[in-house]
Amino acid sequence: MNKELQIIMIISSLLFLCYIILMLRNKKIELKFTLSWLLTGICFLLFAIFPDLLRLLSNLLHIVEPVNTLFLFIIFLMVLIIFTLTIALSRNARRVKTLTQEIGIIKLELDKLSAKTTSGQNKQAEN
Amino acid sequence: MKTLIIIPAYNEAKNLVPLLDRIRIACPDYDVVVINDCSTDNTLAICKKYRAHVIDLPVNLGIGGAVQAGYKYARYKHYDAAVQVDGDGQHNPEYIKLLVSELENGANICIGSRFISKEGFQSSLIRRLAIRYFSGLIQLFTGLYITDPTSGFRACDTKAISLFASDYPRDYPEPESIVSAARNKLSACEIPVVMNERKEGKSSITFVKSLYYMIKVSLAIVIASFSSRRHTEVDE
Repeated sequence: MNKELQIIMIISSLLFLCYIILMLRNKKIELKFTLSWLLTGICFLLFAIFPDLLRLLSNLLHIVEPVNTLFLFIIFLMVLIIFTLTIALSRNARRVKTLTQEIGIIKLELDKLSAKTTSGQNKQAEN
Repeated sequence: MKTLIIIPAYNEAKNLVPLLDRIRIACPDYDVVVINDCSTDNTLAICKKYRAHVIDLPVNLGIGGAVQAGYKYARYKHYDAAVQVDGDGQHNPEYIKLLVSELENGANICIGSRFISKEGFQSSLIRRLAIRYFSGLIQLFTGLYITDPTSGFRACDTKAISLFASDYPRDYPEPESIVSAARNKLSACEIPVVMNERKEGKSSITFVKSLYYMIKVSLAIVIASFSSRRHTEVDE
C-alpha cells in the first residue's frame, strides 16, 4: 500500500468515525444500527495505520496485491450491513402495516361510538 | 351466521355506491365494511355519506394489507364468516349467500370461480393462461385444484379469518393465500360465479407489472408451501 492511499485512508476513516460519534451524541442514529459501522471504521483505521496487518492477511489468502484484500474486506462488510438493513426494513414495514390496520379499525370504532353518543344526545334533547 | 362483507377499495368512488346498493338488496342481513386504502379520490366521503362502515387506513397498504385489515376487524368482532368482494364491481353480490352456504356445509374457504361455468367476463387469453399456470402450480404444491386462484371473491369461516388476520400476503395475495390456507390444513372449495368487466378505473395489474407479477407469485407459492405453520387460535 502506498503512502498516499494510507494517508487518505487514515483521514477518511477518522472523519467517518468522528461523524458517527457526533450523530450518536445528538441521538440522530441508534447505537444498535451503528455498531457495525463503528467496527468498519475502526478496522479501516487499523489497516491504514498498520499496513503490515493487511499484507499478512493477503499472504494468508494468497492475494498478491494487499489493496485487493482491502477491497474484498470492504465488499464483504458492505454486503453484511446492507442485508442487515433489508431485515430491519422488512420488520419495520410489517410493523407499519399492523399499526395502520389497527388505527383504521380504531377510527371506525371511534366513529361508531361518536355516532351513538350524538344520537343519544339528540334523543335527550328531544325529551 | 354472523357475516361480514369486506370491500377493499382504492379510488373506487364511482363503483362503490352501485355495489353497496346491490349488496343491500342481495344480503340485507350481512354487515358491510369498506376498507379505504388511502384513496386519493372521494371514496371516503362517499362511504360516509352512504353511512357505510369504513376502515380508513391512514397509509396506503396495497390490496393485501387492506383485506387483512378487514379480516382483523372480523376477528375482533367475532364474525362467523367474512366475504371478500372487490370494490370495482367485478363481483356480483347475488353470489355472496351461495359462497357463505358452502361454509355452512363445512368448507373453511369458498372461492367464486369464473372458470367453472365459463360464463360472463373471462379475462384476456394471456391472463387465462397465467391463471391456468398458477392453478397447476398450486395443485403441484398443495394437491388442491382451484380453477380460479386469482379470484378475490371468497368467503372465509372463523378458522380462515383467524389465519388471514394474523398472516396475509401483502401484494397479489390471492394465489399465495390459498397455499397458506392449504398448508394450515384448511379446506377450500369453489362455486361457479359470473363476473363482470371492471366498470370504471384500471385493474391494479398493468402490462408492465405482469412479468414481475408472474415471478413474484410463483416464488410466493413455492415459499408458502414450505413456510412454517401458524397456530391459529379460534377464540370463542
